[in-house]
Amino acid sequence: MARRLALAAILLCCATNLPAQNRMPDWSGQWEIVGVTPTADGGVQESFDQVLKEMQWSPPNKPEVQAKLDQIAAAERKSFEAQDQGAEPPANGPTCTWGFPAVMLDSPLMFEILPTREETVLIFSGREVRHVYTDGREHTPKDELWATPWGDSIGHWEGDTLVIDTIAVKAPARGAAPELLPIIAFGGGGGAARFRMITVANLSSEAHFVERIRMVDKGHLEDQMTIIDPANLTEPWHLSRTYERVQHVNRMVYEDCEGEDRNPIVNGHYTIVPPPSHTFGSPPAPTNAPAGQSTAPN
Amino acid sequence: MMLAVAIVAACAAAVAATGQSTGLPDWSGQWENVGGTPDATGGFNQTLEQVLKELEWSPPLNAATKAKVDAMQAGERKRLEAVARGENPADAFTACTFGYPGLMLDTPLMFEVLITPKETALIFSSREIRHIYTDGRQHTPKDDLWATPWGDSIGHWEGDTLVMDTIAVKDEYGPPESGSAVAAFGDVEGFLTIGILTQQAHFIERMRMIDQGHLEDQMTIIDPTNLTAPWHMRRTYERVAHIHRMVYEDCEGEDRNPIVNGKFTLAPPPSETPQPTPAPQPAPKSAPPEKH
Repeated sequence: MARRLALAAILLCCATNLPAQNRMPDWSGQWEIVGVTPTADGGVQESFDQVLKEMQWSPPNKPEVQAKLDQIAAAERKSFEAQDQGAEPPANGPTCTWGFPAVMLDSPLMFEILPTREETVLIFSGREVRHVYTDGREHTPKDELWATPWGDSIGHWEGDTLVIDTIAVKAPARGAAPELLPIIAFGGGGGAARFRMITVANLSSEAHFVERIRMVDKGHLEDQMTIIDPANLTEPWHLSRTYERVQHVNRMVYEDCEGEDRNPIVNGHYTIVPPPSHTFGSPPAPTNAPAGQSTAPN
Repeated sequence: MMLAVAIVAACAAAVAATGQSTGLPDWSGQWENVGGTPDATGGFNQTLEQVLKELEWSPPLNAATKAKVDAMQAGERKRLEAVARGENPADAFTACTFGYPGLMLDTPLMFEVLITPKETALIFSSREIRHIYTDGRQHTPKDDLWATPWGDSIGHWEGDTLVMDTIAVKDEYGPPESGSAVAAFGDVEGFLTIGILTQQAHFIERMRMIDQGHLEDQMTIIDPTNLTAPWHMRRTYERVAHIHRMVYEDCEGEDRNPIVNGKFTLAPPPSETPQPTPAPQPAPKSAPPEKH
């Protein structure tokens, strides 16, 4: 009897070692990227050169692709130099759709990850959602496969590592060339411009993305991404990103593209400002978050 | 015997240390509202009168609020009559933010329910997300609490029933101090305001799976400023039959999932994405694709 019980216990124990069946990693909380720190005015804290160096922005572009990118980059540099000399920056509204892979590579948006057996979702504060189906299905058949800014993702678990396979990604910008997916590096302006950006790669609509996401310690997640695009790259492009826990906010706070600024950036971190006085009785007199002061750590 | 107990204890400790036991209900898949089925034009298969009759509404409005709602309805009825005469309503819009509680009560959007130990997320195809934190926390403190179209939600499990508590809901399109409006939708471009709630309204929902194909949401709205008593409504949701993944509404104009016979379907992708497909066809209007 004791042996049978022991055997049953061992079987139970083995079963619990199947992460996709009986237990899931706890990646709860809110996360933000390391190395691209947002500033209060919508810029980036790190210098552009720093970002280019530290964020592995060295895609193995084919020579003919690189030649075109050099032209684009030259125009982008010229624009930012003009801004440094006083030219008005282009009137960009808040960016609420970054699309993949930018949401993983260099967006300042916070996100949550909810792993369940059948699916893991990554929810970003721009109201962008990546659905990674882990129920054993294949990619959507080609005759139903629309390219979208977030692509078509399936995945599986290797221990506590989520392996994600994504195809059918298109640029989020309306009117963008549907056959090209520009990858853009953002960094601090250094001059009058709040930030600089340079297109470092132009992927094709056939680009294929493989990611391995895991928790490296209680406070950090890591995403190792490989981009395969024989049309535009000479070899697979490997990038790695780290995400840390958002410190001063303990729930998802969405970007408000309609103009409210509920969560201003203070010292590179998300904060919450008091709501306007018309809501919920009589909160303290509404004030904007003074620079350098986190108003509501929670 | 002691060996077995020791092994079980060790296993339990290992699970506790490395992951989460998932003794939670499985509500995976895509769901859509029963009783407000969308049609191919962006309207509804049901008439507004059908929707008013077949779905629970009957708000216990106080006299002042009822007078306001009656006035709104008079204007909306005139608008409906104009639409019936073939006139284009000046306020036609593509709603990509329904907001709460409309999302639960009568939108034609599909949604998923992601259940994890500390949080359940309801993700709608308009890219609206309700976060229900079930980790034992209280509502956000008042000095941090902004009203939003989805409110501030916490919840807990009573067996297999998710009990949700939501506050701080505002109308996306209303002024900052607005609460939320509850409207019934039917016909094409038809809607009728049923109730208006203040930003102090408090919503309690009990959501459960009543059978493998249906979820139920029992909602109670408490708003002493505008209601004379708690307002109870019940809605059911069925599995989306022809689609097995989330397909988002595209407010930029693409129509990836046209409605055919009241059901979501998938149109073949355009020829340039992600690579040319044989003979791209326009969206089928009569026969939904069955491929899964």
